[in-house]
Amino acid sequence: MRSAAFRRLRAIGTALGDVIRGAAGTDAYARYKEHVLRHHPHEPLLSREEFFRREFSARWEGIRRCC
Amino acid sequence: MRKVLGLALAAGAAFALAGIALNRGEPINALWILAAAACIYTLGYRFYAAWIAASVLAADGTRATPAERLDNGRDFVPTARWVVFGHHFAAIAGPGPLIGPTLAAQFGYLPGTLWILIGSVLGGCVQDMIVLFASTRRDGRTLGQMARDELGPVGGFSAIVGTLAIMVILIAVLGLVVVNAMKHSPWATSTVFATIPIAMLVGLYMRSLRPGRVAEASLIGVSLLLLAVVGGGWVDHQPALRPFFDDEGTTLAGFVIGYGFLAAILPVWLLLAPRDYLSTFLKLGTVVLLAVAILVMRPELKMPALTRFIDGTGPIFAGKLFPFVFITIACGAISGFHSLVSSGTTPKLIRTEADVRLVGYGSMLLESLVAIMAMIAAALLDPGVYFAINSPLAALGGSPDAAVATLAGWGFPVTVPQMNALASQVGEVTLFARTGGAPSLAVGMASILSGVFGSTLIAIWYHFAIMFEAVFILTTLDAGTRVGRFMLQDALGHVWRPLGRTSWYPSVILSSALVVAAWGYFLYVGVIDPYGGINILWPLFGISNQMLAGIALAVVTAILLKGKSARHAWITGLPLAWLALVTTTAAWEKLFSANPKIGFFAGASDLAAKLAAGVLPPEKAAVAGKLIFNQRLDAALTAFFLFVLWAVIVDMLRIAWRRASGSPVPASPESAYERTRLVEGANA
Repeated sequence: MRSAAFRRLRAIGTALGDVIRGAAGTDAYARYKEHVLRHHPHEPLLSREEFFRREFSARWEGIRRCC
Repeated sequence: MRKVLGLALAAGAAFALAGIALNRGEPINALWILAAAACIYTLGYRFYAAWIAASVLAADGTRATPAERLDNGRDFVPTARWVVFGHHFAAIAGPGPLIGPTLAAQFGYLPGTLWILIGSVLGGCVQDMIVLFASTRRDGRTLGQMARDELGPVGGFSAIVGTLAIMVILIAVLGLVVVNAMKHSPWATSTVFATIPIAMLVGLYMRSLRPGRVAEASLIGVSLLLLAVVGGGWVDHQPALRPFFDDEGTTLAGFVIGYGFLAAILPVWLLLAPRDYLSTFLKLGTVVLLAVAILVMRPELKMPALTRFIDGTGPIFAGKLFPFVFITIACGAISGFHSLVSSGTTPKLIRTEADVRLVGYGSMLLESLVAIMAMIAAALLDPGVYFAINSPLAALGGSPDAAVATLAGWGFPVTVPQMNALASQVGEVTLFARTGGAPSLAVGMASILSGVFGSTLIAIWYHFAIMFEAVFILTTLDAGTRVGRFMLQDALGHVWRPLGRTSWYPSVILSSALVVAAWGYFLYVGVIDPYGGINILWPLFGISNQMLAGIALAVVTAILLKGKSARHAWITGLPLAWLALVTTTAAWEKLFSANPKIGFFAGASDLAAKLAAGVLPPEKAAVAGKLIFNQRLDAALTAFFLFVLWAVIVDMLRIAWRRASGSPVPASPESAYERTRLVEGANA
């Protein structure tokens, strides 16, 4: 019973962390890294710094903010 | 089990609403409203949204989404559901749901609250979810592309032009809100100005000092912003510094216009991106803080459920309850702008169609809750204080003394010493006629937060709230100007190809200047308007936003009509009919009402007659020509919005007619079924 409640609390905590990461977009590099490792394992992986320089501005190209 | 839960929730909602209805005449506790909202949201999400997703859309968890099929690690990325939820909520929630309910509280708290609850559950959330679903089934196409595919060139063109127009009006009205909050307030002005170098510092930190450490940089930035709030109070007490930040509205409008232009042409990493991060953290933090504070403080609402102004004579904006409450509150109930985010960016992240309900419907429910909290913050003020802050002085008799007399005559007693005491408590020179909703919301938020965290800090809380709204608004202003620039460059590229290159500096500067000039004009006229400008611009914004919602609903209704679930097309058809009714009535009144406070033409003629007769005081006569021209321009815009809305609706009805009479309709270009290879539960 207690462990079920604990698991549930932990799931809520993870979800809240996810919401914040998604809202702020702090996970962009992690997502890119996962993608390259999974789909292009033989291609070079950009470092966090390189990724940030190259890909950063693309985040603001479309309609990203509302009224 | 589900039925038991449903019945319990329905009973809970009914009980809470009955509590609100039966206690008329006595103060209502804000908890009743939150309880009713929680029950209605849960009913909507667990039953209506679940039914739509399963039976109408036939969302299929085994179908590969574009994020999976086109995964490129950049814009198409299959993403965990709560991450997409956070991303989508941050994108749709802006300052709109804070301002609309604050203004609409002039009718009393009940009409706005009911519209926010019912409008979101049956309208706004449904629109967001179905647009998101439709775009997910079409490789993340934008609303404009879907309108062209599903309806034809008229629909597609209307969606694009409508989007550009709404952007201009939105930025102008938001700029006006910020200017009104900063006018002759050195504390607010210096704090808001400080947010610009802070954002740049954070940008440099992320770019050069510790590249890519976004969370770290944002935390430093948020701490600096809090410091800037306290620092603004210090500036306010320095006789040498104070005059620099004690500015007229027109000066501040000039600053905002210049800032908007710079933000649009500077590299993203320097200003826009860091500001966006800061604003997101502030947004999440403040929403949670406010919710907790309301739960702890359990404030009583002092605003009556209904005020006398439902007859259309309200001082904040003129016009009857119907249709104007439905125009004033767009964001929070149904916002057409959301359909632009729900198509385009978010669908490229959706990992499985099973997540569409949480992301589309759920995010909008949360935004609706933000609107409810804004309504509570407005309704807990003394009505006299609320109207004194939000009404232009010209509408209350021209001076503070006349204003309190007018308000007392309406049954909302308030005194000049009371207003002055409140102003000095929150660290402002005056709170009379601080139109735009931000100062009133800040007073409401400050009283909630200081009630929980100690009243010695009320001035800090007030300016924290102002800073929070300003950061929000300036982020929308930056991002909106940039989007407008891209759209304009796209259009100009058809005229002369080099103009369409987004990295060619002459074109960047030209198109940015055009976009900034467009909203800057409306902002400037709003600032010089003795009635404060909000009473003209906010309804215009509401009409344009509801027009865009009408376009989005028409597109998805056409999609439903063409599919297997044509008999369920009413789920978007009915909200569309309601919006068409509301928007058309409101636009008609804004055009043709004989009341100069409502009708644009009547307002222009009235002012022209007074100018010709020489009865205007000299300072009003000096700007009258501009105001007359502006009212006629506003009328033309309103007529244009109405025309675009009906062009799209007629296009949709044409599809419906062809479908009903068995004629062929343009195919609905859904991408083909492909089975997902993602393992259920992985990455979640």
